[in-house]
Amino acid sequence: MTQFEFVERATATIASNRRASMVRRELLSHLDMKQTELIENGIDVVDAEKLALESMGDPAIIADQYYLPRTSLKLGTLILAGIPLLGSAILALQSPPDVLIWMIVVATIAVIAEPGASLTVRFHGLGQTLNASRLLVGVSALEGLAQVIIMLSGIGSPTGPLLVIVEFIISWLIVLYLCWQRQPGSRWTPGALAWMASLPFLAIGGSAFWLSHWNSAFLVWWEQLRSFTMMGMSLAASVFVLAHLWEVIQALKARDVHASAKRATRLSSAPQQD
Amino acid sequence: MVKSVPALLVLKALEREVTHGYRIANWINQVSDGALELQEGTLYPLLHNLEKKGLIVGEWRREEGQREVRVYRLTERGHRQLRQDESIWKGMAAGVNRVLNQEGGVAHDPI
Repeated sequence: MTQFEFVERATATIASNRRASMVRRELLSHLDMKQTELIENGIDVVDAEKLALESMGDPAIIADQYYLPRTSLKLGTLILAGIPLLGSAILALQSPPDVLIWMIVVATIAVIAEPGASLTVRFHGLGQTLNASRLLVGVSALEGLAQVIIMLSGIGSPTGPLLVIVEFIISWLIVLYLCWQRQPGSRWTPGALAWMASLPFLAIGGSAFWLSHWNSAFLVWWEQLRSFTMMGMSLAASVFVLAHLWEVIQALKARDVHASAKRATRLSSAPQQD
Repeated sequence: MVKSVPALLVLKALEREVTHGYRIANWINQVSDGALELQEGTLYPLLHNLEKKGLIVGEWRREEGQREVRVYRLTERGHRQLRQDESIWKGMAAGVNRVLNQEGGVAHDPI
């Protein structure tokens, strides 16, 4: 186990990314100090790293201390989910459902249903943790906000299709960057994979949609692709939602097991009374 | 009763100086002649819990050698809590010591 794997495991139960990142930085700083002290005492660098890590004990013990069952949705999550919802509601009133609405709805579900980390990637150097689905949702939220502003300001919707393609490019760049930066310990969940699977449909549909607005010659192409795109997006969105539900159930099960284990520990350590 | 002895020790360590977790653990270990060892698994969650309660405040600082550390200091509330817990603990420890130092005991009547 490396130091990064250790801090990752030790902070696995912390729900807040920002808080987990802070604890990871602190633990790494502690390990660094321990290692320096050992080196100053004449221990070899490699051995010092190993010994420092061993002195920390089992990361599960630290993780257990931070374990708190998630009981409520955070305000930030609600705001983030609210903006795309508002955007999609306005769009739905303005025009029939299209790619944008699907995308925004999927992103909203991602925020609400997300039980923990879907695709978490750590930037150890910065002591940061970024969650791919949160980033993607963040992009969707920005887009939703832009839609709201566009609709309310009366500019019209020529920028709408452009936003689809811009969001698509940004989303893919984020995904590619996260894949490139992926560190040991991060995991691909069915939810994350389903989200990825929806992106090619978004690419095809989004491009066609954009081109049809740019040049009416592409309108036929868009009309032909519309049902295909919708079907793919719907399928991916369904898998995404089901995968997330499965993750939520697993997380709840784990919470029950954890609570039972804690109860059992308390009972076994309680003084016996005759 | 004192709610948490490790918390009392950490507050005491921070009364002495503004410092980081590593030094807190070392100081407690040294002062107690190795009798008390605050494991990392206890120390950091405890520090963060105390911070959440507003008894201590943490901030990142750059130490010599460009190392970044999170140092903690006692708040006014932390000082008050320390005084209170310290007084309770001393009274309790004195009571326990008096009980343990009792020599002999009341002879039981054989049945």
